[in-house]
Amino acid sequence: MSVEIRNLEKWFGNYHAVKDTSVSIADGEFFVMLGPSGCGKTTTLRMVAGLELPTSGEIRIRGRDVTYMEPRHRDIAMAFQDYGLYPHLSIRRNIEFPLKVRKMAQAERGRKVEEVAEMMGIHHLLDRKPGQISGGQRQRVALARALVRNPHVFLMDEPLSALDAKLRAQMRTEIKKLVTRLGITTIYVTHDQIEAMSMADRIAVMDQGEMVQIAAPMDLYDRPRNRFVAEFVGSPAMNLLPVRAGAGGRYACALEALPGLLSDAETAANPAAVNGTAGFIGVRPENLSIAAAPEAGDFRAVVDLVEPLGQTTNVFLKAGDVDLIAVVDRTAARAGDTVGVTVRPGSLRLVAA
Amino acid sequence: MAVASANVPSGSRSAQRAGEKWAPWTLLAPALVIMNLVGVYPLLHSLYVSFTGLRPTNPTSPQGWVGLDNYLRALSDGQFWHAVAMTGLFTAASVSLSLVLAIGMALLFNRKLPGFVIMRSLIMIPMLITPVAVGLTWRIMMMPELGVLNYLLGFVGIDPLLWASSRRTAMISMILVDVWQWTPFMFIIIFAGLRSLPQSPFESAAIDGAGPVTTFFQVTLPMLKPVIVIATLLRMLDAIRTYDTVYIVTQGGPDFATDLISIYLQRVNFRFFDLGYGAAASWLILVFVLVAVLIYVNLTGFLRTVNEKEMR
Amino acid sequence: MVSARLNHRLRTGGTGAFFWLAALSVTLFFIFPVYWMFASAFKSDEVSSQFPPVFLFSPTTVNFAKLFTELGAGEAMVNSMFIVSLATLLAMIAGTMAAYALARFPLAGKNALALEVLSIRMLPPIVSVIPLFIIARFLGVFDTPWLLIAVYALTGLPFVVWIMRVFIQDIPQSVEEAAMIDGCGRIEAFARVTLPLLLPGLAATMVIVFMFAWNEFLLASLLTSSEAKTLPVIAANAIKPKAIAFGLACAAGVVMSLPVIVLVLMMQRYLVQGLTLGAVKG
Repeated sequence: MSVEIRNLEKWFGNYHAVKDTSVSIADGEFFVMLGPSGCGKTTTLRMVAGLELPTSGEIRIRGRDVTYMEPRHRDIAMAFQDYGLYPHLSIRRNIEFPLKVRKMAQAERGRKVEEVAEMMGIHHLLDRKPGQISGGQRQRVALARALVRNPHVFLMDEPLSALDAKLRAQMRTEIKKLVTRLGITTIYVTHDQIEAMSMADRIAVMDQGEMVQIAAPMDLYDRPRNRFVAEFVGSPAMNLLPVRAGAGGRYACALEALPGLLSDAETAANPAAVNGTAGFIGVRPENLSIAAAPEAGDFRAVVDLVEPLGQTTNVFLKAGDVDLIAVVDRTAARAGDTVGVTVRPGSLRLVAA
Repeated sequence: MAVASANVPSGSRSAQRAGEKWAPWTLLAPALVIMNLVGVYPLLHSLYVSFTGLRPTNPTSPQGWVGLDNYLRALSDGQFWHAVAMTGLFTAASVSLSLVLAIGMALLFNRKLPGFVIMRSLIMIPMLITPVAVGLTWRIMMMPELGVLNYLLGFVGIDPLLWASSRRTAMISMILVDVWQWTPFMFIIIFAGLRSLPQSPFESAAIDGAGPVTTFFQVTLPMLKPVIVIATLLRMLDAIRTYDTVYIVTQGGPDFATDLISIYLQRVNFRFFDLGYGAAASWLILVFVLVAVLIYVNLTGFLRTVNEKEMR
Repeated sequence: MVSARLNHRLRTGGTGAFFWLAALSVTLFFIFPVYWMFASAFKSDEVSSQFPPVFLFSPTTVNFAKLFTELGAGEAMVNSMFIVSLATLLAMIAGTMAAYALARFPLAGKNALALEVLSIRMLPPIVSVIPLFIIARFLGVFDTPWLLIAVYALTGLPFVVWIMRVFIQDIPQSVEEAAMIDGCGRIEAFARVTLPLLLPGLAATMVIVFMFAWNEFLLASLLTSSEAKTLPVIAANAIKPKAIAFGLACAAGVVMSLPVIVLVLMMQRYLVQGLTLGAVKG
């Protein structure tokens, strides 16, 4: 195992920031911690980095207990949200800094800097200062500085959140390619579910200091464990309808047609999700399709609003009192039309509250 | 994980890391030592002295514990109250005058006209001059017979004034000196505040059809308030302790017309060596200043301003 | 009202010349006494005691010579330099350390501490002069430079703590953390990364602390008698019992003020932030 976190706890005064968290991250894995601000993801990352000390628990990197070790002895590198570049040093000196501090010979330092600058495509910037280059370039420099000493673990704290949308998408792909090629274990913190989905080998969704669900991206998407995960992952969000376990193993829902469409496998696999407590039936918007003929499909709905996005179209529907959203390729339906809605077989999920 | 246990760091390293808890206190220690030894301890000592009749030059008077006598004496001493009143007058007049002047100057210089940058630098100079030198220079300039001020007044047809040599004009003269020296301080702060204001409120005020007067009172002034509040507080605290210029120009005279508390306390302590009484009077002044600051802070919401800064 | 109208006219720009003249007269009001001090310093006593005052004269340096022979400005200058430099250094080191602790560590009671520091700034010095006097006599440091060094270190401290706290907060914490991850310990991270970034702030703060200690008169005059006199104290001696030695007084003023004027004008950029204890940015 590359990084192991065991029963990690962090209190800030009376605030319980991280609650009894345990996870093992494999060698070369791209592990993403996803959650809204204040969920404890950054605190967890900073404890792995050694910038914050845990209240209790244990952190191991390559089997070595580093819980209370200084950051510099942990064999890690980190990319910060605001880059953390040294404003008074040139880009070259910035990248060279970790090598210099570690007293590497000058010639070798120079060679390594050239190498990593070449790899990151920032060779032409080496003699400028951080203040003289763009945000995207700064992030490249920060990555270069992190990668130059071949760390065992690469920590990234929302490294793309300060970039504009287009650049973010581009850097996302680039980072993923890079760390995959180099095979470095990476822990990546973000609040952006698209980043998480597209880059991660595994995602840990965090809420109020707890890792609610740890799973591969598509598993997380297909089988969210609870309402929080279902709503946080996926855009537009999963349709969730309150459901109750009724008599004789039947479920009752405001949209009467739905419980009957649950697959046996789903009800069998997930009885605990709803039994006794209030739960939800969930369906991803792309698993709903609409037909112009109201009779066709599993139930009827009235179109509230059509939102064409080009590649896909969001259709906001009202079935009785229930609001739903469907994502379809394109549609001739207009607001006010009554349409038939079909649920893709096997796509309904039972989701815990 | 059996392999790993060989690499577990020694207990000393984790202890060293836990020792970081003490790092901030180690960093604070030198400042705390200086503050408490040179600042707080003498004050506490002075509190003790204020309850004694300590008066080294007059061995016949009781030197020991006298309870609240000194405080009662000060509170019933006309000279003491006169000094407090003069200080209040001096502070109020000087601070409000320089505030109004500074705001006007800030608005005036908030235009890009040729030479304004160099003028701004020149205006700053008075507050950099050693107050003793300020006192000496103004004392020379205000001399009734030889002074350059009366000479200049002659050009605009004003009869020569006695300035600091007359009971009637001494206080006004000292206020003038103070305003001259410290308006630049208010000016550069308010000017900086004015420069850092966002433009959009002014633009929307213009679109809403607000005239210049309305804009000033409804937009400029409210937005400048935090800066004005801070500048005024600092200026007030400095005006209350004014000593150097007044000591050089009038020594509190003529006939106690400019007898500020600093001058008064200096006389009590170092002319009459009435140390117990001086300490009591000092503590009364401290309490007055504290009360004044608290009232000011409450009236202006100073702490709110500071806290908002902290939130940044 | 007047200033609002001023603002308006400036905005419309119609009467630019009028405002230029207004600005000029304001400038003249503030600069004239400074000019007069400098001019008088270079006048002989005969010239400066003439009325009407003389504006054109042949400058002489006799006052500056007298300053050193009669008033003992040489010794006082050495005293001032020694006392103020050491006190400034002390305040800078202790204050910056404290500011770093306040800016970077979560501390219980940190606001109370910051306020204690601030209240030192509020204290009228005349209030603590007697106890200082008594304690100094008792310790035998009265009329020595050490007493004034300690006192000026104290009065400089609040400036350093409050200004440097803001400067330190302005440096993103991630820069220091990056250094720690890149292989530095906390102290090395401070020395290699934070300190170079703080240099302009340190320089500006130092100038302000230096200025206030250099110009200080009250404590200097009451806590010294002959050995540790500073420049402002001997300058006050230019007032003779009967008259005031014009040239001598102004020459002393020039000698005292010139270094501060030069230093501060060099550091103008940070002056506002410094004078308001970091509360207002220039």
